[in-house]
Amino acid sequence: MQRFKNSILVLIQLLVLHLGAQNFTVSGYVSDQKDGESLIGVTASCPSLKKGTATNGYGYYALTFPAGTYEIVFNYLGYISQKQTILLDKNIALNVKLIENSNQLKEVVVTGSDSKGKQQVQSTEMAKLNIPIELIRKVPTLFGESDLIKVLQLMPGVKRGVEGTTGMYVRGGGNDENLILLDEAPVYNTGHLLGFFSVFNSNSIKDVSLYKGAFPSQYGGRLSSILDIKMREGNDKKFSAQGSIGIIASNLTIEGPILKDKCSFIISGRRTYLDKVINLFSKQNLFPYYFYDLNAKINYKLSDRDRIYLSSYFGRDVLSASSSGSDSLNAGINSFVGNFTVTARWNHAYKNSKLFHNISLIQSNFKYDISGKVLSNSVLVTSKIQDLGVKADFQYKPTVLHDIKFGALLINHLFRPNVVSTQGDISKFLASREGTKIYNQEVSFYGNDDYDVTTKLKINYGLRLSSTLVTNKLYAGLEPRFAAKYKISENSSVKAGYARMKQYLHLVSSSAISLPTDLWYPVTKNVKPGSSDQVSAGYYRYLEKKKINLSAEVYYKWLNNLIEYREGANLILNDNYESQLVTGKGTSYGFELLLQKNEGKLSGWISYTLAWSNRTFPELNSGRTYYSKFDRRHDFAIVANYTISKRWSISADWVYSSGAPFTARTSQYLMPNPTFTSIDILPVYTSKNAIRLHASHRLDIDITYKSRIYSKYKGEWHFGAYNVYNRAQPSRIQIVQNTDNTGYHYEERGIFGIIYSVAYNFQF
Amino acid sequence: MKHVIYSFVILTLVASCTKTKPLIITLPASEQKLAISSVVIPGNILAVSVSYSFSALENSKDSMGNNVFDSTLYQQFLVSHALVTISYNGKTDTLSKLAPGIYASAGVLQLVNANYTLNVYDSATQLRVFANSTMLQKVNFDSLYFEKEKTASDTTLKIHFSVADNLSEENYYMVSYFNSAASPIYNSVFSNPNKNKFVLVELYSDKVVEADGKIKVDKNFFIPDENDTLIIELANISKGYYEFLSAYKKSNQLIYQLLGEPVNLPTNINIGYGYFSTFNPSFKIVDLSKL
Repeated sequence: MQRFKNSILVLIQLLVLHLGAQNFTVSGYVSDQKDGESLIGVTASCPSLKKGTATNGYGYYALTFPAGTYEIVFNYLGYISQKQTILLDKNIALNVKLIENSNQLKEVVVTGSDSKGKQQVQSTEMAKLNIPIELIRKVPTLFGESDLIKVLQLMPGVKRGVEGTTGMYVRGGGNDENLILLDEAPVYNTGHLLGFFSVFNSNSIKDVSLYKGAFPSQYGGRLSSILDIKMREGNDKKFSAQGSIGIIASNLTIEGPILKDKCSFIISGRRTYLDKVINLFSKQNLFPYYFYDLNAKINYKLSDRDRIYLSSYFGRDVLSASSSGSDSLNAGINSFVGNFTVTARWNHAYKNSKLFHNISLIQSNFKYDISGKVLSNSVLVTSKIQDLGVKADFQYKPTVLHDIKFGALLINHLFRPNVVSTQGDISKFLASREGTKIYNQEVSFYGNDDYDVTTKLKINYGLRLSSTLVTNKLYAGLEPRFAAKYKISENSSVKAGYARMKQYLHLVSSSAISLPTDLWYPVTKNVKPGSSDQVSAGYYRYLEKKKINLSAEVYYKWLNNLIEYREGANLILNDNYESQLVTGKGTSYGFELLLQKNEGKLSGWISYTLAWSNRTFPELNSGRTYYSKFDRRHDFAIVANYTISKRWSISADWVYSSGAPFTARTSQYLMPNPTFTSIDILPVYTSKNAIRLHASHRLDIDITYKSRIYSKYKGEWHFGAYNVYNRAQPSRIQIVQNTDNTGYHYEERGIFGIIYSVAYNFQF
Repeated sequence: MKHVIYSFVILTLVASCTKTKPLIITLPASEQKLAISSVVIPGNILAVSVSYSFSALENSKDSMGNNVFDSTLYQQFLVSHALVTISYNGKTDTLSKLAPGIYASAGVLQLVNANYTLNVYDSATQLRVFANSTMLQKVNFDSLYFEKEKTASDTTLKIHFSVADNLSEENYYMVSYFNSAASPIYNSVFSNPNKNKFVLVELYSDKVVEADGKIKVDKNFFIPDENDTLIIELANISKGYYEFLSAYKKSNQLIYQLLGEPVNLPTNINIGYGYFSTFNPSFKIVDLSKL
């Protein structure tokens, strides 16, 4: 009894102490001293308390401690760490400007890198890839066009589709199971030129994060991944420009202050010009295609606590071909495909500094027009999606132990698929039609807390309530999220996570080819929302001496209410697409390993994935389980950048991927038509995805020469070779006659052999 | 460093002189099976086609590179010495060989709702298949009329018809249009296609029945020859045959082969391909010159 009384007394004393201790908050923004760009993921820590936090997506941090004097250390990869001593007797605003470590070649120990490496180990985040933009620019790519999605394809758990394209298949999920956000706005079509180039211009991008599992509750809407891309804000100190002149495209980025230290802008444009170059040598318009895109952003600091941002993306793929003037056919075909996004945001840090919010107004449009004419006949087919939404995100840090996030999203989708306009005699057979207008509202609420339970155990728990209303049918679902980290040592930890995701939109396309004209549709009364449940666990270690981060993760994912297309489905101009869909489920599981070194003379990563991905649809493949088309057993990539001297550096990547599954035609038979008036040859296929293509592997190299390094004008040459040893990368399958005329055989052919590239990058 | 770059450039230039070598994919061997189809013609005629399946990678060109996937090559896949029998209502008829791969009997009674069992045995390969089918009731056009529309450049035939659907049952219909050039295959077995031949098969389910219990259809055709004859055939078919024909229509069209999902056609042939169906069609013959 006495022992019980003593315990109660101690508890009361602790409570009094806790209540009596006055907590204050130090908060502010962290930015780059050189150009004022806010820095995301900077660690702000108090070594004496062994507590810290990281700046959010807007460079804002807040630390709440009992009154006292503390030393706060700010660390960031590639920047010189900064220490600030503060007397915390009231709430303090402390904006920090970090100085870039411009002399990394001397292997100066950048403490920031240690903290970044440790941050990955000590946070509850898992299954998250964060790639420095500088590294993205160094990875050799097709035609020398740096491309963030192709770099992500080299990471564990992310598989590529057709060779050279920007399709992304994450942990056994489909390409339409990735939510791609550009400054909060969803981007529906991420590829130019049938997907060979992504729509993201790396010169305008500041931060890229890919979540493959253990999703924080502020993200939702797709089953397999979230790619969160943030655009740069622009230099608020001085005007500057950078650009690139390449073989097929060039880009230019201009940025500068509108009001110094208060308001800045950035505008970045890109265009291909192969059409113009070829037209110099031929009047026949042999390559009537080009694409262009434009990113622009303005940000304004209203006060120390308020910032507003306006950012936009506009891109188009244009194909315009017509018969020559003398041609009596007067025929032509035109196609315009593109995205347009606008995001307006307002950040506010509340007076008590513990609360921060961001309100976003979002618009995202995707549209394609395809038109053709022959003589007096013409056809125009249009499809579009219009999204208009509002999103509110709050971050609240009551104590240093809790980081609470909550918010809401309301988004209205308008779908206008297959609007057809015909003129001339063809209208007798293909009538003009307005198409269907489908309105759909998505509403979601979320909340989660990142909580330091003990010095070793940290958990992140949250819940997302998502819902959608379409044609008087309401779907709603709870999406629990959980992640936990247990610290083994300062440099190692184990983590585990669970996440449920819901998806209320799906992409209707043919599996045979992927086109920008594939259409997005919302769920309907008959087509239910997809859902996924994923558990994952991993071991994380930071090798401090080598500056290497190691992560090893396993995952298992259950996918429900997936849709596929019936055998023989054809979806071109098919408004009754629902009748072509079948519903099923899938599983995917695997092991992923990543060793990543982001600094020093030698940087890069090694990634390996061992994975399985299956599908079961009662109406496909006679109900038997089959490998999904994204199933690849092994994926391996090694990416390395070596700085030889101040002027020279070399990058290389070697990638290996097991063969993709496909369905082959093995037999055929003669069959009279139902009237017995003609004969057809009908195919017999293997069971679904029963045959494997060959494994693909490829080596790419890029050599960089910095022609000017000491003047204000900086230039660098890139000499690259893609697919150096000229191996066929599986991109198409053909049936080819045997050389001895004994029949035919299946052949795998690649689109690209070895491709050289040269590009000149400049900055002033 | 210069040496490294020169070596790299020279090596890659040499490599680029060679084309990317295609990779050969090995497929499992094709298994030979019998492929069956049938047609019922008014007048108690039942015709059955019997052929062998063959590899999708079969040679179709001769040593000169000419396409020989024609009547000559077809012959080797036709089953010429099969025993084909049809059993129904306690009676078995043996079908006679009408042409290579075609067997027929003019004495098969068309008994509505009777079950018909087809047996085929090929002594050359020892392959044996069987299938069952129920003879469905004959249906007629509820209404059928035509319009001819002439413009300066072409002539269009507009066909309007309706079919009264029996709502108490799940019904499926096949409507075929063909001209006089589309002669039956047993008259000109597997001959080269006649350029003037016109054949179109359309399928309807009673999901498109209107409020008055009728399926109403409007069709437009360009008429290349105004003196031609058009035959329109209507048949009430089983659900299984409807699904087979739906898949068939997709399988033999290039656009579906290029853009659609692969289709393995359903079959009611035990250990074989194709479909045995006993529908009972009605016909309408239209002399286009008299419209």
